[in-house]
Amino acid sequence: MRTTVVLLVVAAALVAGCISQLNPVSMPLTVSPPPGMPIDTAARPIVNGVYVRDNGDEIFGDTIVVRWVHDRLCFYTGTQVVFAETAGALAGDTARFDGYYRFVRSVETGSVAMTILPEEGGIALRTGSASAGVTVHIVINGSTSITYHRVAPLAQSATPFHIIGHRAGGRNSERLGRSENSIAMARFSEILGCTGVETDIHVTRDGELIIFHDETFSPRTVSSMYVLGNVSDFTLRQIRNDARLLFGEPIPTVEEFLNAIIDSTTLELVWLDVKAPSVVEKIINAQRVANAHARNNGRNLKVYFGVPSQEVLDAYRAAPSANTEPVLCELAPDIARSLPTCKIWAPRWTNGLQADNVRAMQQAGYEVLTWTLDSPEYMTEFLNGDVYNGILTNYPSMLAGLYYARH
Amino acid sequence: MTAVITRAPAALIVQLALIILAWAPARAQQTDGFKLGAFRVETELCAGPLYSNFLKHPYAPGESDNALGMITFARVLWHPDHLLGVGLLSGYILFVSDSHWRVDSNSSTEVSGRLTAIPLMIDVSMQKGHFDVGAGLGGYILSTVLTDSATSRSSKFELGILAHASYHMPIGGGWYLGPELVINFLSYRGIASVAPQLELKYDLIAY
Repeated sequence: MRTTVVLLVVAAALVAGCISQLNPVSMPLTVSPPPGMPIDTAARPIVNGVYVRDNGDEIFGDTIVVRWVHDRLCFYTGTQVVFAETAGALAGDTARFDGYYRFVRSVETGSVAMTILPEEGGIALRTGSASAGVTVHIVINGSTSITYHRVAPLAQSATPFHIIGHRAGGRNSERLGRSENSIAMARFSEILGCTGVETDIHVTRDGELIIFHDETFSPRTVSSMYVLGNVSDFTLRQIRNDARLLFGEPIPTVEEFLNAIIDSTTLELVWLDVKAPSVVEKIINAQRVANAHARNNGRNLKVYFGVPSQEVLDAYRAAPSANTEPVLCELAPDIARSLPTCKIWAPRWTNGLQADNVRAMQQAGYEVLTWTLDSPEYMTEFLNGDVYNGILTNYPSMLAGLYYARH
Repeated sequence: MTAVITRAPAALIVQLALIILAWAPARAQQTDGFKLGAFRVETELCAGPLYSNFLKHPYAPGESDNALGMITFARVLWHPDHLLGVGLLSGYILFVSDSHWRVDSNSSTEVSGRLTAIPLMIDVSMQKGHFDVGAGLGGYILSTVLTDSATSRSSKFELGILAHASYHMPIGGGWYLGPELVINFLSYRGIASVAPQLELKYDLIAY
């Protein structure tokens, strides 16, 4: 009998608790600069660079990458998945920045206050003149101090390197305050270090294209009283009116999502992961409209039609508008070569470096990306030698920390 | 503004309740010793109103975080000569049925929705005198019907639990009648419900 009782308790715990509820994260969704004069756009790059720790707490490790993203000064580390977002202003010749940091793989977050003193880069930030060196004094959570000084500029590649965020920048499990595959997440992806995003397309019951990852609506992705089960069971209107993404955003259509990226970000690449082979023609048409919109607005951005499977490949080849817009192919190199408008070959990273194949494809004019790589050790391996043109990851901040500091 | 997404305390409370429910029969038997008696198979029919709280907001505009519905289910339990009995539980739950007008810039549309479930569970209960406490472990087949200008239907199986406690009076001929309190919890979806019910019990077989 006791065994029965023990088994019952275990079973109850499994049923009620095994679907673990992630602890909430209290992360600010906005940052505000301290009082003072705005920092001139032309002077900002003085601060970009690789910094090493002089003294203080080791929480962020010995090396950080500091980089402006629009009007936010951000930093990243390559050893842990950490990013910080701050907004700054000049008080005389001293630059001050207020914001927050976040350890993405845990709930740890807190305040960050950064100071650049006049002789340590503050004057250069005010005047736009060259600086002999830059030192940042960081105080986290109002008490712990760390000092870093700049040792090198941000490393760059001979050819553009794409830091691509999975599911528009981050998954729901990362608890970034924005839902995966939302417009808000795509906008935030730049703060995470992304230069491009991967996103997923499904089709509604009435044939409309939406940005959504799973085949079914579940509490992992949406909050809704009535919208549950297969995505293809509901009309777009019902999905828009009766379901919200996990952080409250409406589920975007493909058109809304791409327009938002074109109009309100500087992202350079969008990878459409096609999960609805039945509407390939419609996806190509949406891709065409988006690429034309980007061109007309002078945006350096390309939207790629992703071919992840034989099923999608067959549907693509049968589509009347096939071979009119750029394609990213995840299948074998010879299949990528057989698609006239394929521009990117994207093998999965678990297939290994494949250096010979990669060089051969690059010599034939293709860019080569790999996916979905989250390990710092393998990221370093794939970054070595500047062989790959980009990496898709769930942790773009860690990839940015490794990529920009790799010298 | 901050981001908060979970309701862990509710899951914890239900887990604690289940542990207590599971512990109680063992404790009772330790106190009373094993009482050898007739084996029996009993069937129970229950029905009543249901109050549900939907914990995982934010929902779409116009959707409330609580609702009144109804529940009815049947249990078939095998009681050996121990306090603890095991069996199967199933039934029908109406969590919410609602309609409202949605006004767009160009038109207004009546929207109606209904969320129902069929529990499919292994039920374990402990009877002591006229009291009965137990728990159902398993899941629910959730079904939804959403109607605006079109009607959409969908369903999905999700894990869940159910706890019940009742008192039943003999009314003759192997029949019993009494009140019962049922608590449903769909942990993944975040629906917690409580239902006061009327229970009718019948000893189907005794041997």
